[in-house]
Amino acid sequence: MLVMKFGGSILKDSSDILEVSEYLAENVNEERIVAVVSAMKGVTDDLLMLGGLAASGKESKVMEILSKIRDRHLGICEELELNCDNVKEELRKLERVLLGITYTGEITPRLMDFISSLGENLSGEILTELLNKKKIKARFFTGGEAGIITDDFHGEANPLLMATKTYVRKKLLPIIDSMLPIVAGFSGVSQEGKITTLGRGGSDLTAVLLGSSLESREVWLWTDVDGLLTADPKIVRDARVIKQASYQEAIELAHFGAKNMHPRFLEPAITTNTPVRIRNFYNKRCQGTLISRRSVIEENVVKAVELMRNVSILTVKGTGMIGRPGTSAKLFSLLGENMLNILMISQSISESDISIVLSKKEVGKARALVETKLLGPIFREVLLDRNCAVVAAIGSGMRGTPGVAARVFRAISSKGINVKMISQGSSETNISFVVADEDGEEAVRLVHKEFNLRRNQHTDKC
Amino acid sequence: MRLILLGLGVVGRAFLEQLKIERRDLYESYGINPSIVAVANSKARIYNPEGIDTGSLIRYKEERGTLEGHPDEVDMESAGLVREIDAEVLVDVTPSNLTNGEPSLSYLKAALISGKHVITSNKGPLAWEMPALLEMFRNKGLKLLFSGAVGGGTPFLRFVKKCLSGERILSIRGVINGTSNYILNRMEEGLSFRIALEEARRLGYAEADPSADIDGWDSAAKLVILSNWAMDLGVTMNDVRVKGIRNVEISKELLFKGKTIRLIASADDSDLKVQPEEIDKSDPLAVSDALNAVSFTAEISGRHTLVGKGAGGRETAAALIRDLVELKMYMRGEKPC
Repeated sequence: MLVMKFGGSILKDSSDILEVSEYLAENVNEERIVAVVSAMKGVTDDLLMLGGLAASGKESKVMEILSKIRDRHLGICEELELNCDNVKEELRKLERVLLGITYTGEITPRLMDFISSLGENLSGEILTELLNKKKIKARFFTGGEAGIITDDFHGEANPLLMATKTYVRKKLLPIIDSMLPIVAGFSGVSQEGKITTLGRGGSDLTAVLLGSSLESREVWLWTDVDGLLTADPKIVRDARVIKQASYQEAIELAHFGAKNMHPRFLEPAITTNTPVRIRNFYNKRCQGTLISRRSVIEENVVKAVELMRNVSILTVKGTGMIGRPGTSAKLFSLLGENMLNILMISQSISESDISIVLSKKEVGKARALVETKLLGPIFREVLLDRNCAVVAAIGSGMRGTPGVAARVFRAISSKGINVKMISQGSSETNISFVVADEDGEEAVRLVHKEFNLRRNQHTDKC
Repeated sequence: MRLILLGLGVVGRAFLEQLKIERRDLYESYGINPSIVAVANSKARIYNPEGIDTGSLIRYKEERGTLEGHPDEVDMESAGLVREIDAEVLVDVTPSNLTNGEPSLSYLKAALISGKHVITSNKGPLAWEMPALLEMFRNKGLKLLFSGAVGGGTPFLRFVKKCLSGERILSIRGVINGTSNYILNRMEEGLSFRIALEEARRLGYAEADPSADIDGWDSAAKLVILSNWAMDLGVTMNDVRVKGIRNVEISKELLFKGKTIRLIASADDSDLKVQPEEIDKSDPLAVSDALNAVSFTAEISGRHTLVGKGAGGRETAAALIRDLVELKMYMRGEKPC
């Protein structure tokens, strides 16, 4: 069995839906499939906006966006020659709820979830009707109907894994031999039976939850990119697709803005050991990236090189910090209490300084806080290095392999690039270092080259 | 502590009886002062927010044969009653439905969404949705206790969780259905299956419809509960292969070889099954009469077998009282013994 998720990036118009339905029709007889659909591209954002607009009573603006959503979906129905009675019913529900909110001027997180979950219902109902028209027996399920159970943190609900497994199996296993379930991504229900949404990356999470519950062979996330790449192709033109990555590597990569991907979906995949494959719907020859427990060390210990720009280094110094327990705690809790996120940390063994990396946007506030609250006999000095970039070499193959750091730094020193700060966790799946912002891209290219991560134009299908 | 009691059969009445006998001890030793605010069976729902005089309630039922017409009768269905009224604990002692767990499943979910702890001896909901129920109750900070669902008064569940804590349980093997065990024992003595079954009926071991016992479904439900609890397997009834004792014969040759047959429920990492198996007469699982026995194999300390009476109103009621004590300790923030 396979669970496949069709992402919003490949659901733009009627021809996309047609293509997805054709793909499913061709493959459903080969192997049992459960399909998960996202909302049409941009629709969830529109719905979220609608909720806010309705609450502030902007009725005409609400009606305008609502018509846009209606026209878009009913237009697709028309192009595909479908009745779309269920879609019309969903749209009516949406209109009534929005009107109610407009009059009361109030929106609760629960109502917001009700509204924002509708995008997947619309695309899912259209796809289901289209498949049925093609004589493929398909049935639409909302996330809750498919058995996705969550806690009641509306807006970013957490799935209850055992409950979800129990109910997904109970609901889908009896029908899966005779029909193709089309499941709305992104939504679930709380234990009270209220609609919840899973937050960013929610549809990926839906697919992984279904896959792990049903013990599917793999979970495929269809999108518009070939998979996880060895580097940002805008920086390294011949970056290649990573064929296999471990869960840990995928988490590290996702952190560096592997687009459209939020690492939350990996958590249930790890606990249930479900392999996930990211694939490009527009390039099916490419097998994409397989994320699983096993990491294959493809020729090299470093698998990818990532860049995070627009960061700054804040350094606090003072001989009074030496041997004094609790100094770093003071610094970190001050920043934490003020919602400032620390990206990287480094302290020398002499303990006379601590350097931290923050986003450039937040560093001004961080410096002001340290200056006003901490500067004194212990924290003597605050230094700021504003224009920096973090380069990270990622790959679990570097664990226990001597010489990786040497190769990384030799590569960048060959072009005279200065390293300002270094950090490697003891899990050794990642070496991160900070360079001047203008050196960032060059550093990525140098490390990428050093570890031969280049794409082979003759053999690579991606 | 306000209780809702669903089910007023043998177990329900025994539970009320024991609450009355132990009232003083429960209060003085544990600070438990139970007040039954609602009682329901399949025919009628009785509700009194100030507490029901259960003695007179039972007399009422015995005199008229039904609770219908009782002055405190309310026009609500049971799940609605559980959801709507104020109480801390639902005690569910309704008969187990092993086909799908209903209607007891709905009672438990009503308790869950209205924030009530549950003490149950009903196997049905656990057999079908135990992994989900445990997670959902935990997520809501509520207790779901079910000592009475397996082994009656014999504390199989508490034994494996409390006495073997810290060890991984590798497998479970047990005789966990008293009725079928009674029949097999009588067959050892030369009776045919049919005669032995009739005798079991006459003695009240077997129900009018004995299929849950002799076809293995009751054992399967208990096996699901035991293995989820002791081994964290996350399984339901669908995961058990079940074969009953209808076609079993116990030959003289077999007995002569020092062997016999028991309806064995067993679980390990990969497999759950209930089936008649040949075992040595000297095996601790070759128990007599309607006894139950369960062997837990722990990773380091090996096999531990517990033997005891597997059913009975008073015994099951004792398990419910133990759960009540555990719940009270949990509410007070203490670890149970």
